[in-house]
Amino acid sequence: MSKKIEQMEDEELFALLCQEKDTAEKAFSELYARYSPRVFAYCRRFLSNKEEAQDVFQEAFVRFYQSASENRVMTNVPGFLLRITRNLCVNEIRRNRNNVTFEEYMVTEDNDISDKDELLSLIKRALDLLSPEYREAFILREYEGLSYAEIAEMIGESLSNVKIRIYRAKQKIREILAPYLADISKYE
Amino acid sequence: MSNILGNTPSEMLHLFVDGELNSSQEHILFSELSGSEELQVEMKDLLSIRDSVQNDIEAFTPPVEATQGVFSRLGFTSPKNQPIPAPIPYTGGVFSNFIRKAWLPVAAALVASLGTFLLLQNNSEQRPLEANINIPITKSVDNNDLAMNTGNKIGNPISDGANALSGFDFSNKAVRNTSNKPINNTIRSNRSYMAPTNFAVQIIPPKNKNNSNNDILSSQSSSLAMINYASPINTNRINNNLHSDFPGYEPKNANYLPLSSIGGSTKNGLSLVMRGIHAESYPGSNLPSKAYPIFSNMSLGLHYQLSDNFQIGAEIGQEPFGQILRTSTDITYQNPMVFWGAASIKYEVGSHLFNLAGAEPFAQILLGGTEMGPLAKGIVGLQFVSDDWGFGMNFGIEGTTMLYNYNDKLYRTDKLGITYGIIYSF
Repeated sequence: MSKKIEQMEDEELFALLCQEKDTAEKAFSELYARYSPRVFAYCRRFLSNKEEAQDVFQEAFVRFYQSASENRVMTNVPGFLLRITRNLCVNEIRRNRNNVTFEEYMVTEDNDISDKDELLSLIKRALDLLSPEYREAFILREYEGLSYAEIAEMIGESLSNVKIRIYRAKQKIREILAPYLADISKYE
Repeated sequence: MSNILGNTPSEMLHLFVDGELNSSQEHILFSELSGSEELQVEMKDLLSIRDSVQNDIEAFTPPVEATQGVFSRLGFTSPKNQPIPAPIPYTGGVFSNFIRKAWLPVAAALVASLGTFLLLQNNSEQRPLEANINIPITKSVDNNDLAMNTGNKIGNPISDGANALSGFDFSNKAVRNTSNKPINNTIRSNRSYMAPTNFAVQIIPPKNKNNSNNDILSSQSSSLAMINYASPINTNRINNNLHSDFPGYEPKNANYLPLSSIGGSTKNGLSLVMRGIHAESYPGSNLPSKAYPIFSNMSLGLHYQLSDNFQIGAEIGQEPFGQILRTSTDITYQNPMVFWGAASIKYEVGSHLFNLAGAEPFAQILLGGTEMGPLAKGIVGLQFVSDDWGFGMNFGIEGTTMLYNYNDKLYRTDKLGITYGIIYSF
């Protein structure tokens, strides 16, 4: 390898995943370091349940590694990785749907968390109250920083639908947080 | 709303915040914003939400076990600079290992020593203190004279700086002590506070006095008088200058002694302190800290009054320390709750500030360690202790520094905040 691992592009690293084990391990470690935070954020906020999020997170990276082959040409590694993650998360939601209805109030009580940012804590709870479609749109926009077009491509929806979902998701969150946001404004 | 795609100002605002609004619509939005308070509030809300999301560190930090799970399933070795779950075990050198192993037995030895010392001191305090010298005391004493001596009138001040407990004016019948000699070194060394609202002076008959009644309170002897000086007296600490002009009495061949430590404050020179700590960590971390719910962000301490102005002691506590650990591949944020223990030395100004309701300034330094590394604290503040009850409170500003080693690199976390607590002196 003429270049250092840290200096390689995502596509170059992906191509190394099907090489010998040492090389593949280094390439995988670098890709993991670059994108594990974003993938975990998606899992964590989309699934709410911490254990489920960790399971899906691990599975996503395993499948990502297993998908590498000499015949695959990769042009968008983070998008590909996120798509794998999204599919796994959606499957997880569908599986849980049989046990829990969406109308039920799903609140994740995590007693270990003592968030300094109370607003953030409320946002997390508000996300739990959104439908999966609105929640996903919000996460892809705010956590992943994807553009509307990229989101549309990822979830297979039209641009206008994406705009509607993001707008309604944010409005819903604002509605839930209204009393708290009003208090903040009062004291500013 | 016939077309939700940017038709309403609110929709345009959302598109603008997400960077999706085309430039031709921006000026429309800006003119709407300038005239609509509701739209301005909405914009502020959207930005607040975004700002919070970007600070959602917990979401962007994969747990260590998840990382290890991924690599082990693939048959890979976990990354070299794998972050270790909080708290980070200290892998430092000899000093830190010694602190970790030795602080508990050292603290236990210190407590045991203090306890033994106190027991011995208690025994000695049971015996009446006797003056080294014969300080003449008047034969007859008029209590009224004493009762009128409520202030610093005639006589040398006992402590510098006025309003102090002064020499008594017993000019009517008492004869001033002109021996100009210090009262008793023993008294000085055993006394920390002289805070008498009832300052009693016991006059003990000379040993060879032919007095069948050994009760020192006997009123039969003209040389005996239990003077209950009930007038309120300034509670300033009496310093070592309490001597000489402790005027008044000149009974012949009689010894007198002032009772020390009346009022209950620091009779044994010990103080128990419980403090709460509210501090900001630098670097900071929003991550959760596992804590023992009963004892977190608190400290407990035991201090001994070494002299009028100095206390020594030991404290233990538990509080979080934010950590940001950088490797070549990632950054780890964590906020471990850490136990610490430290030796303490405290300086008390020694004069109560009446403009602060009698509070006393103090400064304190603690040096010790945690399971991660050495620790130092500095506190400045005010304290107020009731001399009658021994209870008090303190309030101050506290700064902390903790050093720790991670991957052969030395890190430091600083904290600055306030501390507040209660004191019990006994």
